Amino acid sequence: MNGNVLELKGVTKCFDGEEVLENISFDVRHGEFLTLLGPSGCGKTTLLRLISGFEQPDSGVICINGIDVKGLSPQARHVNTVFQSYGLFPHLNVFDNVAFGLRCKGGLSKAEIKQQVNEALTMVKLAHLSERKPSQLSGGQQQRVAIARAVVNKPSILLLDEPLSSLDYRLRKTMQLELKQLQTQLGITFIFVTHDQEEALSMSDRVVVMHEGRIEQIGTPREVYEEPHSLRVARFIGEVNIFETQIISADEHVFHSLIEGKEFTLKNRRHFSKGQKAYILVRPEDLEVWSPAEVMDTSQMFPGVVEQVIYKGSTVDLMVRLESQTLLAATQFFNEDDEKLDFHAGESVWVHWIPGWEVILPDEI
Amino acid sequence: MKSDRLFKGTTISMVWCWLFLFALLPSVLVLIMSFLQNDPTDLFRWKFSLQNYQALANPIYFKVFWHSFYIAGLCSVICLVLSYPFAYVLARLDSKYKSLLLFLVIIPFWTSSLIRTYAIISILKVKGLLNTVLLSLGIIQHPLTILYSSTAVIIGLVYSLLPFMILPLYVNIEKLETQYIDAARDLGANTLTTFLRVILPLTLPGIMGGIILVFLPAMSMFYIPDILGGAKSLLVGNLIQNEFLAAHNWPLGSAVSMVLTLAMGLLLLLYRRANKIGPYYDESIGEI
Repeated sequence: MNGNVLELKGVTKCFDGEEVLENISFDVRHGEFLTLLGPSGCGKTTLLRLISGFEQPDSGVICINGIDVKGLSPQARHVNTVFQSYGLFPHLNVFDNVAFGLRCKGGLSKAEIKQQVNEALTMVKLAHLSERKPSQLSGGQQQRVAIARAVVNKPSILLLDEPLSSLDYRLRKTMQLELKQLQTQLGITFIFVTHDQEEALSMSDRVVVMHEGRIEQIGTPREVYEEPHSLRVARFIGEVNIFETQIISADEHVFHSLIEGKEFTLKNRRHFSKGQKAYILVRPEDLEVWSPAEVMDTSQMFPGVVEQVIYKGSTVDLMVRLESQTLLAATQFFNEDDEKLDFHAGESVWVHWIPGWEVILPDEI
Repeated sequence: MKSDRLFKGTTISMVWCWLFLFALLPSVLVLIMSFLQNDPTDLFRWKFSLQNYQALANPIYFKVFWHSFYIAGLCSVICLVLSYPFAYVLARLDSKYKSLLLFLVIIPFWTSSLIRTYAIISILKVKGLLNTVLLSLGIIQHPLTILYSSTAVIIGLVYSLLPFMILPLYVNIEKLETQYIDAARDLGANTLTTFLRVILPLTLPGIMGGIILVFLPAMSMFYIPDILGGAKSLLVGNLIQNEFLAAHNWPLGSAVSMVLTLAMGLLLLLYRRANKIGPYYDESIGEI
């Protein structure tokens, strides 16, 4: 075995002649926390159902623990799912819900089942509520029961289908931390589906960014945020300012282009040639905003007017309208060596970023 | 505000009036009647007595009750076994077929149940449709004598009451969310386990609802045993009918009715218990 718990090769799925997933290939390592991230309708839940066995792929191979699982039903796969709406059995109490999988497996004595169920419930801090019916639990508690019910079977892979989407913001934050801790503690591979990019970034070892049935990018949270492979990924994950530009001249090392009327010399890593279109991406936190009195050299700066100031506690978000009517988002951090951060709407400013912090992408076909 | 309250008050009191007039009052009249004495010349004699209930202690009545329970029980079980797979498939069908099939289930209601029962005679009688077909196919050598037996009564009851089992089952199964079945399969349950441990308990309210709608009418539908059972199969319904219309013993008929009502009440109580363990959510979900 090569350390991969799951391997997908060229997986395709159609519903009513419409391709929902096309040519999906990726590997998941043992003990990894992998997130499938994408807007609703991008096929991430379908992908999860292919892995769990509720759907069969039209083509392609899915291997779990190195074994092709083609045609294997969900009950025959060593995979468990935490469903979006939990799917807790309403007629069974918490204990019986968690014990369900163990009883189906058979071969365990009553005492063993009791011990394992109690361990799982203790892990999710619900041992004291084992007699309750699911309807007598809060959303967060139901969520935990669903997790306990899945992990008690010690699956090779735990699939989580947007499990936090129905919880409120604070509870979601808590559950994110708990899930991550649980995953580290258990060492089970988690495949987590979400449309919340913040959730994906904060929890995952790797993120699979999906769009319309295709994988846009696979990488660590840092990679997909700092080095997006496409405009789509950049736009979907975090906020981004995008400048469209044309290459004036280029050689092996650098290229020249006009951005908002200023000439820039940028590193030519993607081998652009003259006349090509390129996109320059700058994250709001990489943009610096200066008042006119503070700056000397404005050759690489854009003049603009502050349109909106959004105070967020540790940061201030500025919306700056450039002369070309482009609206930029800039996030300014409070720090000790920067005493002046009190911009107000209507103020003229200069906007700038440190060369090298931008992401340069070619035009998409 | 004020007219709103007036509207509420009026509608609610209308409902109460309706229930009082058409449900409570007749029942109370029957209850009072069951404690009065029979009079050969008048409807009843104004004198309290327990003799009607004492008369019911007679083993003959007990036998009729037991026979009714048996026939109605058997009828319910047959209806359940026939309806469950049908309702299950129906509830999982595409919505366009669903409405068509439901429509077909309901269509027989448009014909009087009495006429449909007479139609059964022409199927079951010695030279009827069933025997003709079976004889010509060589499956049987001598015609079956089904008519005027308990079998004919059960066939007639099952036929008439089948929709009353299908509909509550259908409603319950349609409400059953597939996520529970998915969850069971995901946890390693095979088809049989999924059915026994998840689907069956979650559709218990539908099963109980169907049984109540079949069991109670089966005991009191007097014309089906009359037409199909001849004199051989007497049910509680026939007993009540006879006491009122043939023997003109209204107090005794009322007492039999009361016992039947009591049995219905017990069944409804059972139904409520089944509902409690069924998939009905408690609204009072506490905070974490």
